[in-house]
Amino acid sequence: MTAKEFCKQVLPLQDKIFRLAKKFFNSVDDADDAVQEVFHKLWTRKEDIDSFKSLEAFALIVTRNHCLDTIKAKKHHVTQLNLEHDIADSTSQQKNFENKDELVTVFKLLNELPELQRTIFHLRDVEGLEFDDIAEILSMNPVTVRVNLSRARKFIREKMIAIQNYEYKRD
Amino acid sequence: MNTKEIEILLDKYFEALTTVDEENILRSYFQREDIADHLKSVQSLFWLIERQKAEKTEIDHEERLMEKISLKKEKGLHQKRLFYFASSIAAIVLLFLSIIYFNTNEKPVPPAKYSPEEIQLAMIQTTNALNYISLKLNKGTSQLYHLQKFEPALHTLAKNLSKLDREIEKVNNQHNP
Repeated sequence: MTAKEFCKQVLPLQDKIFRLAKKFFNSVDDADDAVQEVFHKLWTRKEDIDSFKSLEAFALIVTRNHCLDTIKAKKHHVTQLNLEHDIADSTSQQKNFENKDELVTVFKLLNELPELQRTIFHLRDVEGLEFDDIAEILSMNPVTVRVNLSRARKFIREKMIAIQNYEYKRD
Repeated sequence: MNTKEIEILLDKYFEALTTVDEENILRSYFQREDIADHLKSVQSLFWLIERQKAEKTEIDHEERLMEKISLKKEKGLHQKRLFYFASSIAAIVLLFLSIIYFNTNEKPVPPAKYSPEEIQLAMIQTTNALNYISLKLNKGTSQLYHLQKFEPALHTLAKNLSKLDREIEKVNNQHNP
């Protein structure tokens, strides 16, 4: 495989890798660095690509492992302030929604989830992957994936409702 | 899609029983402004998902990637080849050197020519050396003469033993006539 052919194959995955990495780091710069790191790792392991169901699955496995390793090594810590900035920036550019605070709240709730549940939620709800593909990426049972996804979604719903009730009472 | 259907889908969604298509329907429903009040509590979740779906990297990864891997590839291959070439040369040289070294060492030394005086001198020196050795050896053996003392002692012992024998026989005869 030449460098050109390789680029043609992996570049369409750059946004997926970026988004998954951003879930871990909550930082655009770190996510972009991760994209480069992951591409490079894929290049050095390009002989292994065929042994996976799809290049996408392989790329996301490498991405997750890279992010987990980096966080472990650096004890990566992201302040909540950055999160709010990020949300506020992206909302202001788009349609004017009623309440940015609500988005920030959900964002924080997502970050409260355990890593596995958050990753499953991301791969399903944001990337729209099937359970079988998620199961392959996380090397686990599709049923377990579904159970964890349900748990994550319910956690967010319950917390959201609790927060809304609290604010309603206060008003 | 009416509110009732959305409610059913939403219940399925939280049990993680919806398909990807059904989840797309839910998400696009919640992008609307005019949704039922009792469904508003989860609306921001679908807003956030919609927002995250749209996120994209703004960096030209292609350029950076091509730069990285095409450079690495050429440099890496070149260095590897050079390394293999150099090490094979080194191995061959070592092999030849060792063959030459061992072959020269195993060749028998040809007999040298000596003058008669040298031969005589060597003879004398060798004789002297051997004499010296035998002298030392004799000194050691001379100490062995002490062994001679054993013989008379053994004789006396034998005599006494036969005397003892006779006495025992006498005593036996007296007791058992």
